[in-house]
Amino acid sequence: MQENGLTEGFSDKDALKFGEIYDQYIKKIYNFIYYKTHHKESAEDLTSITFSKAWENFKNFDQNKGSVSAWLYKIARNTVIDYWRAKKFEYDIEDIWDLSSGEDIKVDTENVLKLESVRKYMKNLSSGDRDILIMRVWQELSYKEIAEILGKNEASCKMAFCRALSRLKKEMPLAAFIAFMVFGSLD
Amino acid sequence: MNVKNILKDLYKLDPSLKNREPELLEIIEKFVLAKPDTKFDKKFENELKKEILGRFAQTDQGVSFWQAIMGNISKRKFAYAMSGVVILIIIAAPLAYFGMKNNGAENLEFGFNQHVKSVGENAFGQLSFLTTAAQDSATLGMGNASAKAESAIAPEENGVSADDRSYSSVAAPVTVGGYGGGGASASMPNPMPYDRDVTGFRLKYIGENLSLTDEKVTVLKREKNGEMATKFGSLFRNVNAGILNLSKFKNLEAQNVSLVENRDNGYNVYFDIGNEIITLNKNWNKWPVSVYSDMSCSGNGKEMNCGSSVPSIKEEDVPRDEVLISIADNFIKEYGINKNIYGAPEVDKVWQRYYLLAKSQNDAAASVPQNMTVTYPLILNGKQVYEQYGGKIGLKINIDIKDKKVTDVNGLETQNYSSSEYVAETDSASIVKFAEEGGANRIYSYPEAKNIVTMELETPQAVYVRQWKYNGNESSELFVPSFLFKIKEIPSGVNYYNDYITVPLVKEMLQQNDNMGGMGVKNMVVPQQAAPPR
Repeated sequence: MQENGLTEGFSDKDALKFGEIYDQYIKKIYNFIYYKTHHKESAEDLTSITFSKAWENFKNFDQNKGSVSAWLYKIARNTVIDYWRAKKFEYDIEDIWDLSSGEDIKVDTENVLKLESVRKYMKNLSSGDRDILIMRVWQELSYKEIAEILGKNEASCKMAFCRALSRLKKEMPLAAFIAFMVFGSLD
Repeated sequence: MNVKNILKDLYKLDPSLKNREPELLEIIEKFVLAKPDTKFDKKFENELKKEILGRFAQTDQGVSFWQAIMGNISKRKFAYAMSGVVILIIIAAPLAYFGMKNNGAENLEFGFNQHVKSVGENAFGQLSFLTTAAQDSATLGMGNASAKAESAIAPEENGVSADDRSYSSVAAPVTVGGYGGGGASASMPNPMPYDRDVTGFRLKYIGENLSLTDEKVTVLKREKNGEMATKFGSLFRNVNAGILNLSKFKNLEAQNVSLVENRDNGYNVYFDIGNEIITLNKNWNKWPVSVYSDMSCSGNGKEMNCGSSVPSIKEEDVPRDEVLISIADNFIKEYGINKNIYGAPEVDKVWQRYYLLAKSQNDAAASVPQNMTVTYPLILNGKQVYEQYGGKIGLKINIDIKDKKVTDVNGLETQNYSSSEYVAETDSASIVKFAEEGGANRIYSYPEAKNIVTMELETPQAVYVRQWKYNGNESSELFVPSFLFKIKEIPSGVNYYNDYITVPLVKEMLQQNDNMGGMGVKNMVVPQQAAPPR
């Protein structure tokens, strides 16, 4: 990365600022990616790519147009999607929850059992809804933050959420319904 | 995750869901519990940062060392940051020196793996006094407990566990109901007048016949070999601080070392080198002030108002055991604590009995402690280890149930022991008799009380019980093979505050009891109207 001359045009200030951002978000972003891969080494690789991309584009990032958090999460989401798509499954896959059982994918075995209890509910949700669930329950982000990351405003999220309610209540099992109610639908 | 907020969101959307709260809670908790351990690696964090920014920092236009450090810290945190940097330098300089001198990083092994070295029989001297001391310490009205009782708790003070603290905080209110200023020992007549309406106790063994075949039992003594002091001392031995050259000092040893983790929600690491104990607790400067610990109102005459504004914690706020254990497990993994010598974790429940007791007496006064303790029990020679009052010894992780964060960690002690054999008690009748008299942790009763409650003792479990032996200014930490009898049921509303009775299996310790003519059933009675523990 640096070999490609990425230090060019960066100032002390940029490096200091990016260092602060890195310290603040590295764990959150890594965790977010881990929740979508369930594999430490893969999560580390994808986190490295995410922050390298962020550093490459840091000069172009305009904080007036969006928060750092939303920017980093967007890069991380896209990086994960690219990663899964590059694996060329026969079906469309955006994160590990989309996988059918029996796929030969490396995962950390100690978390498999733990995740099994919620897998069936997660699988019933769209990738976007799963992200909301992950960000809300496991990362404890507010609706406002989630909406920002996903490029929506809070009010429109709530409206979309309410419109989906009556339909979901009938169609989904209670667990998935609750997950949806709690975390909303922004798709 | 604040489940209450999630529920609030749900109810706003569909108030009828309130009727299904238990079901909702179960499912939400299922999601919370399923949160995987991400194994986030600090080494990875540092290396990636170095990779992205490191080489940039080495260029001509790169940031200086000080800029880099200060750049990560906002200006308002300058003072804390500087103190952190100072500590970093103080610790890092000798470490770096030592590392260079030894061509690599020094791995300071402090003996946290268990080692037991056998010594001769009866090597720890007479043990009979231990039961006597214990009986003396179980005096009425602990406000002015005897000197022996005070010294018996002294070694605990530095590394005191939450469990221990909860006992001391529990004991105080129970004894203040007009019974303070005690000091009565088992062999003394009860000096205090009492209300005959109070409840007395009787203990009755209902378990299986005891099988006592071993003629000898192995007593252990924890050995502190000074290794920690020497190793820490060696780190500083060759440091020349400019104004002072430590190499001029002979046989330099460290006494206590305190480190702070200089980051948000960081921890203090305290090495009690004399006792070879490590304790972790919150680095308060780096934690947000919670309403529970906000002292800003003290000293301005508004204490009462401040106090009343503090929301109490309700029973339903207490997370399930799995959640607490998962928090503790994650902390252990994150900080690389070695738990090999400990058993499966469990959540201490002692608070529940006091809570229910308080509730039965004065509902409004009943409160749930803000901290819960997860204990990873210490295993010695395949047996669990208890305090004389029946509290379990081990790695104790206290969790703030409001923040869902670990507040402190106790019980990290070096594990070097010597072992010595003593003649065992093989007469089951003596053991049962001792147990029914209240065991080594006896509590005194009022023999003439109108109401006598009989509580049943179950079949005991073989354990080790920690006891302290004092010899002048020195104290020894002994682990005595004992039976632990569980009290089957303590009737609700009864202020009996031991769940277990412990009986040592060393013959001379029981004989001491007989020689004193037996202690009789002098189980302590506390008045039913005593204030509940807070």
